Amino acid sequence: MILQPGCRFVVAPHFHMPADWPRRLLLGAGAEGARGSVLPVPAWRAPTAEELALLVWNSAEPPPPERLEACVCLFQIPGHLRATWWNLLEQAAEELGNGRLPGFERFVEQVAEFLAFKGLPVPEGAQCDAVVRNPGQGSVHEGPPANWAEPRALEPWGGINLGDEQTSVVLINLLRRQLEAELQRQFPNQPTPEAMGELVGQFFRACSDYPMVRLLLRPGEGYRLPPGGLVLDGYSGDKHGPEVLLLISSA
Amino acid sequence: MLAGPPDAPGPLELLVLQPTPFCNLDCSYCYLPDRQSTRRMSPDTLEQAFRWVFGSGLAREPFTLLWHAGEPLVLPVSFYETAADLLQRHNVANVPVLQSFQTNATLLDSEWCGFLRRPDVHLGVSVDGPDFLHDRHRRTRQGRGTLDRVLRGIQLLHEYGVPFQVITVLTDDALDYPDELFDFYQANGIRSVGFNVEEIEGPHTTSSLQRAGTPERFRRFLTRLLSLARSADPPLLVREFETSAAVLLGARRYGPGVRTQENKPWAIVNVDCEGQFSTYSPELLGVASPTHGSFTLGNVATDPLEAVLASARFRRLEEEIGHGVEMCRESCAYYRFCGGGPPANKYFENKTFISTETLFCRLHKQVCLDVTLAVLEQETRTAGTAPPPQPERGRV
Repeated sequence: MILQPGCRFVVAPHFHMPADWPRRLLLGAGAEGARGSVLPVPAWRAPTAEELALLVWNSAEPPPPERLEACVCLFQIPGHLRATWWNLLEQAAEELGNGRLPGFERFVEQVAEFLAFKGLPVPEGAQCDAVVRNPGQGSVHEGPPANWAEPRALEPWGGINLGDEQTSVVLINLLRRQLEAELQRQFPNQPTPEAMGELVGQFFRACSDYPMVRLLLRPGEGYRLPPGGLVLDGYSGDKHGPEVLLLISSA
Repeated sequence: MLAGPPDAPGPLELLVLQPTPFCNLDCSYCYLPDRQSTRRMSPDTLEQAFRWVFGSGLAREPFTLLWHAGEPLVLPVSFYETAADLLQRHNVANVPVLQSFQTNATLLDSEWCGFLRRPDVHLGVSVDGPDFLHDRHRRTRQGRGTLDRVLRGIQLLHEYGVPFQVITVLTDDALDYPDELFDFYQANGIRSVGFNVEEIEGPHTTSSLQRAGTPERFRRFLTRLLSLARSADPPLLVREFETSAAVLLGARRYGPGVRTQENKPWAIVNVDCEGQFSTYSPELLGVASPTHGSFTLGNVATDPLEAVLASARFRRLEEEIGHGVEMCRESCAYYRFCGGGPPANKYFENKTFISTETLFCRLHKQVCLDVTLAVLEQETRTAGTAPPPQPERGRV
């Protein structure tokens, strides 16, 4: 199955950063199931010009607000916030063993204040989790079965690479209604699953070769998803050191 | 301190000498009409300027000698060494004089750094932040960005231990980037910054800050920047906060008979490279008006202060500028803390000195005072309170 038009990627307004989309976006060869999870096939390639045109907001002008809302917005936190994060870890080194990180709440507030100033407000009551993973781990989501096969109580809003190494997330560039439409097209006589996890599972069974999109995130870079979220997960397959993602979810 | 008669003009607070109108850059917002001219102030003119200043009776209290407009470092160090000798020769009463240079830093070298390390010299560097802000406006005549050269200059200043402050011109696009500016200052060892808003002056007849909504955007920018600056270790000094806090906390208030440097006659004397001089806002020097003619009031070689004070041109200027200050006093809630808008801004924006509010007033005075007051109130409220307990999971 070839890449379908879906949500587009754009650098969020009021941010100045190199988009470099042809290098930042990679396409996979589909996904495979593993213990209830769906994992991307690790055969990444650069998108063709036609595929890139489907993935990226191409106009020199930023999207109007209603179109922007439906985009995956790329952003970058400033150096002083990254420094705050690392200072926090350094100061808390002795206490990390018990799973607590003193100062994390204030750090999260600072990130939210920054994003609010930039016009990317984090939803009120949002939950922020720092997720640290070793290289090669499959999913950033908690609890078995990991990954998208289960509905989640929290809706992902976005994430930030707090590590000092490039990392990635992988996603399907289609909104829920587009996943439903594709299943309807293929199986017109079957009811569409209501649970997101079931819907995603069925989509991958039916479209196992659908090219997943891999978004590279340099240190300090983050993404904001469209409302309703996207099917998305972390990807640390080719990293050398631990991955540190700040995941932001709306309750 | 030298005492003058109670009604004596001055005292001089700022002497602006323009050793050349030439600037090696061609910034998009520059107000200097003549910045491509390579004329230079001769040693004779320089000596006449000092003779005029110290002979006028204006130099009764410590003042600042500012080398400014165009780029002062276009001239060799030897010019300023000669100037220092001449200054000393004519300053027979030993009035303390602080020399100040405002430079784009692109011409700094080891010789300059050696000179600028002198204790009676203050240095201001003009830099607008990271490349996507700085290089958009501060370019060469060939249109090339200049940040790389500025940062090399700043690096040299650090290597030679030359203290400096920074002036950043804020244009509309900069108002979205307080965090990026703060990062830039931190990364380059900049500890003190002043923000000039892009003003409408001289040939620069429009400003990107004229757009609707700018005061609110500037308010948000300054609030955010100050929050970062004041929580930094060491704090980043922001001139707008320091000066606004000084007036709000009562260090200085304005009222009848108390005017600002720019609207008080002879508090500032501006001298160009030919020896032509003016008073009030430095930006008026070299500008002509259809109604006033040139704002130049005389030449240091030929026109003593007494003659200028008696001239119809000066008296008309003073009457109109004084009238404008009175209008500010009667109509503006910020007057006690501001002292009246700068005459140059009134003239260039409102086309008359007999007027009140300008873009500069709304942004650089009103917003700065409002934000500073809010910060002071907030800091007073939170002083002494302990931070809340810090769980590992954050909710916002």
